[in-house]
Amino acid sequence: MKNNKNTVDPFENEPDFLAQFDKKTPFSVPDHYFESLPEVINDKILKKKSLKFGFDKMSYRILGPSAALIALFFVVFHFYNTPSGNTVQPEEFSDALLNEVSVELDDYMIYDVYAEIIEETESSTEQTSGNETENDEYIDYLLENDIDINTIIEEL
Amino acid sequence: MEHYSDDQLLSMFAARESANYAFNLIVRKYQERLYWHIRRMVIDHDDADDVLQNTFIKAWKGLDNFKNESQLYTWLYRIATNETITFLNKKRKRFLISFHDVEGELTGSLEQDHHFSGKEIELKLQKAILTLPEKQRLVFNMKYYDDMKYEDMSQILNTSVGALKASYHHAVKKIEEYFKNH
Repeated sequence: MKNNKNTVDPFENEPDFLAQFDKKTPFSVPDHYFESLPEVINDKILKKKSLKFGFDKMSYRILGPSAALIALFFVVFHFYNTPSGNTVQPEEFSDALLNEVSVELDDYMIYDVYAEIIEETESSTEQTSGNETENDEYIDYLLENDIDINTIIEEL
Repeated sequence: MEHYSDDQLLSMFAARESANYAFNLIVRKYQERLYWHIRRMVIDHDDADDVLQNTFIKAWKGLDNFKNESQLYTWLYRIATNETITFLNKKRKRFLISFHDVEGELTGSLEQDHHFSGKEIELKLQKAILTLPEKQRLVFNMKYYDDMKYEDMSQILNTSVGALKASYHHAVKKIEEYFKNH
C-alpha cells in the first residue's frame, strides 16, 4: 500500500507555531468606509473621464489648429530672419573690407554700410535727436555725388 | 446586491451602457479583499485608502484590454501588489530612508495606529512580519491571511510555486525566531 505520508507536501501544511494566532487581520477601518468607497472611486473615475474628454475635444478643436499656427509662425519667422546666400550683411561687408576681400556689391549696400558707420560714430560721441536727419543728409550727399567703393575705403 | 460571476461582470463592462454599473459591482466585490491585502503591507489606513483607489483607477483604465488569460481577481491583486510596492518605494525615496528602515518606520506607525484592534500577541506578530523582506512579507500575508493558492500567488507575483513555498517556509521560521528572541 502506498504511504500517503510520503506524498504530503510539508510546505502545504500550516505550521504548528501559527496555530496560536487569530487569523483575523488586527486592523480596523473608519465607520462606513467600505459603504462609501465605491462612490468615491466612481467620482474619481468620472472626473478623470471628463478631463480626458475635455482634453480630447480641445486637442482636436483648439490645440491642433494652434499647433499648426505656431508652426507656421516659426516657419515665416525663420524665413524672414535667415539671410539668403546672395545677400551680404553690413557686418560681413565691413569684415570683407578690413580683410581686403573682393566682394561684388551694389551702391545701396555701400550707402547702408557708410550710414551705419556714421551712425555708430555719432551715437558714441553725442546723443542728439537730429542724428537721423544728418544721416539722411549724408546718404543724399553720397547718392548725389555718385561716390564709389574706393572713395569710401579711402574715407575709412 | 446581486452576486455576479467575474465573467458576467466583464461582459457587462464590455457593453458600453452598463460599464459604469459593472465596474461599481467589481469594486464592491473586491474592495475588502484588496484593501486588507494593501493594508497589511502599508499598515496605515490613509495610505491603504490611497493605494486602493489608485488600484481601482488603474483597473478601470486597463479593463478594456483585460484578456481572459488570467482570473479577474488575480489580475486585480497584481495591480494592487504593484501599486503597493510602488508606494513603499516612493516612501523610501521621499523620506530618504533605506530599504530596511521603512519596515522600522512601519512598526512605529503600527504602534501608533488608532485602527489597530488586535491583542498584544497579534501586535507582536505584526511586528515580526514587518521584519521580513518585502517579497517574503507579501507571500506570508497572501498565504496566511488570504489563504491563497500558491498557483494564484505564482500568477500575481510572477514567481514559481516552488520558490513561493520556500519563501513562505522561511518567513514562518523567521517569525518563530522573532518570538523566541522578543
